Amino acid sequence: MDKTSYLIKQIKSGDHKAFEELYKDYSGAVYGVILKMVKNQDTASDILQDVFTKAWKKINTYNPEKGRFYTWIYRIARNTTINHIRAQKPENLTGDVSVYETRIGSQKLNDETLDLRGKVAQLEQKYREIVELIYFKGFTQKEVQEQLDIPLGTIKTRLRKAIKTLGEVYKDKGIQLLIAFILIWTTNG
Amino acid sequence: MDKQELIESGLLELYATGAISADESDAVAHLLGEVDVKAALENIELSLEHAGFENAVSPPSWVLENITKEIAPSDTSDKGHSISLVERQLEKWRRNFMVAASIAGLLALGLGWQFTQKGSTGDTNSSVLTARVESLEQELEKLRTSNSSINDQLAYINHTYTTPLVLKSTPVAPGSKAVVYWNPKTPEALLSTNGLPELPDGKVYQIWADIEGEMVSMKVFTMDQKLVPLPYMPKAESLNITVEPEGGSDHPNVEQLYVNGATTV
Repeated sequence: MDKTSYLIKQIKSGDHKAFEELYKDYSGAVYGVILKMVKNQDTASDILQDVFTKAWKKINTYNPEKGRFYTWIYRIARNTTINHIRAQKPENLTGDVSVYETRIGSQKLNDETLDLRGKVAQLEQKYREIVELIYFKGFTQKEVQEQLDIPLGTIKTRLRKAIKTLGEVYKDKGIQLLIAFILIWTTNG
Repeated sequence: MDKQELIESGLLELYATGAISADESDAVAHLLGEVDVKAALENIELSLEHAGFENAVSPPSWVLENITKEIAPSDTSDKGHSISLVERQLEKWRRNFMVAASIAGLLALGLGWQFTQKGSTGDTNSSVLTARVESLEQELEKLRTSNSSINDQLAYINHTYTTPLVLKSTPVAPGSKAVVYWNPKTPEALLSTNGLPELPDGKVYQIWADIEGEMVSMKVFTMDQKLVPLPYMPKAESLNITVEPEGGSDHPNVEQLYVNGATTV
């Protein structure tokens, strides 16, 4: 049983400390996504609080057979954030992030915080922008279609290619590090 | 659509991101029990999770504190803090930083060890562990930055040219007060929220600068923040805090003016 599975098992029996540990493991990644969607630290922090409180209350509905925990909590974060954006801007029923951005534009955020990092930032632009809009900014397919003026089929193709590329890169990187660790381990052993 | 078509369609990727339409989601759900589909989805999830961890940003420490309070209500309360506690609060945050930095370091070591244990299996989770180790290193760096920020706030409050402006209560909120640390030599000011009452549900505080008779919004904030950075506005004649609907307002709700004060002492 890996750490996350163990913590979830404990949380389902009401263990608050296990939940804190789970929060420490996942809050940074979830907060990073929320922040990119709302572009405001105070709002993102409030939403993060809401997301993890919901996760605590709904943890019994999480089924590891249906997907990874991160995917589960990411979806809660995405939906909570989109609902927040819609509530802030009732006339904007699509939850278009760009409109929200204008509204709160006076509250500055460091560009570095919002810029994509890691391997996803190194993807070819047409793939990177699809991942950024859909995964990190919470756009719907229709919003991406309007933003980039490309057919829905192209969105699916590019998203698939982008994630496939990421998977290959991460796997290669993982193997390289694994070899390094094994070498160190055997040398020291 | 058969399972191979589904895997190649791009729908699994949309499903994992949550950007899938209801109809498409039904098509995916129908085939999720297939081993090949499940394996493909797991790989997509791992890649997205890895990207998420690479882009992690450390949230403020008060979020966890609030969640802990919310899921396990206790009799501890923040009520009763006085303005004079500001510096003590900063010291507390600094101590928390040291503890958090140590925990992050231990976690990084622990994950490194876990990684070597899992190494021989060569499973795809290793890449996620790698990302988490890197993420923790980044977290540590951010904690260092955060500590530096707290030191900056202390230095700001103690600065020769910093003047504490006490915003006093109006009849709407008797007994309330707030302090703005105002320094004409810097582009920023600092608001201490200790002394303001708890907000009603669905409401926020908003601070306004009175500039030649016009109220200019400076910041929307809640009681979750003990110290709120503000822009320094040299032409502000007075500072005013009102209670507004969530998200803030374009114009102040003067009937809910809680505290105010002049920028000259």
